[in-house]
Amino acid sequence: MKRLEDIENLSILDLEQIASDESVKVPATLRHDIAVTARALEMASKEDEEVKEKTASHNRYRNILRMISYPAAAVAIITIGMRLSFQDSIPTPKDTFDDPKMAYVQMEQVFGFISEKMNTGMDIADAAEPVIDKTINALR
Amino acid sequence: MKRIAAFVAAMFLLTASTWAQDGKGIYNKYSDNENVSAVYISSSMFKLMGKVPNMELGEGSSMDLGSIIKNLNSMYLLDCDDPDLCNEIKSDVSKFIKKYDFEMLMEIKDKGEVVRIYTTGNEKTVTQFIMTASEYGAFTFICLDGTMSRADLEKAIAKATQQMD
Repeated sequence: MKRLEDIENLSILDLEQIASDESVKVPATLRHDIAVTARALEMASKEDEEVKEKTASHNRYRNILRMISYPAAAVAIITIGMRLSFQDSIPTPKDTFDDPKMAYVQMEQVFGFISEKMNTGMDIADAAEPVIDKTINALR
Repeated sequence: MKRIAAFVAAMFLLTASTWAQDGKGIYNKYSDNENVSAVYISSSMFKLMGKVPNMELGEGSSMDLGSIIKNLNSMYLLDCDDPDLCNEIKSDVSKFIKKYDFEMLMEIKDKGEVVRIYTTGNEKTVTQFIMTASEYGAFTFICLDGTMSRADLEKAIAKATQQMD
């Protein structure tokens, strides 16, 4: 059996001679084995490319996320900061009345006004009640 | 750098535009306008009102608001009679109502006037009460802020009704 070094030391002429030597039998499955090996190598290289592509796209997403997350955090911090500073800066209005009795009268008027408007609504509802009752009875 | 400056300016404007979207903000924005009548009662004044014993207020003032008043933080009232300004106030009030998820308690439409009552809180407590009354060229906004018992509030309104009758 020849060693690899011996094969490497052979000249092209020697190789051609050996190739034309018909006494050496070529294994019947050699062509098939070569084809299988070639296909396996092809598939392996394809898989390698897919893995590389996946890794690249994963890195791309990570980079995009990183690019978005920093400005998003900045936006959130600035918005919250501005909101808080604005809320603090809203001046408290001055009381309209100095006298609590006057303020009380005003509150009574406010409740009177609310009540008056609510009463109007209740009156409209009361007026509609007989019509609703009639409709319900008719439906029965 | 220019982008950052533009961004900060945009955020500033956005924040400033939402500034007027609560009772105090709306009151501050419009109370000084000459076409607006404005009333503000603070929590300190409510406390003072609560401390005055047996408040004698003369004829027709028998309404007992004690239970409500002691729990109020503020009352804002704006009454406007300028159509353009009314629309502006209405828009701000509408933003305020949307922002704080107010629940509409009642809507009354009568002779061209639309009255709406909104509250926030839960089944037992009202934390904010708003009433808007709007007719052509006039708008009234009332905002009560505090922690009021729903029962007390209903009682006060019912008493006011009886007094009117």
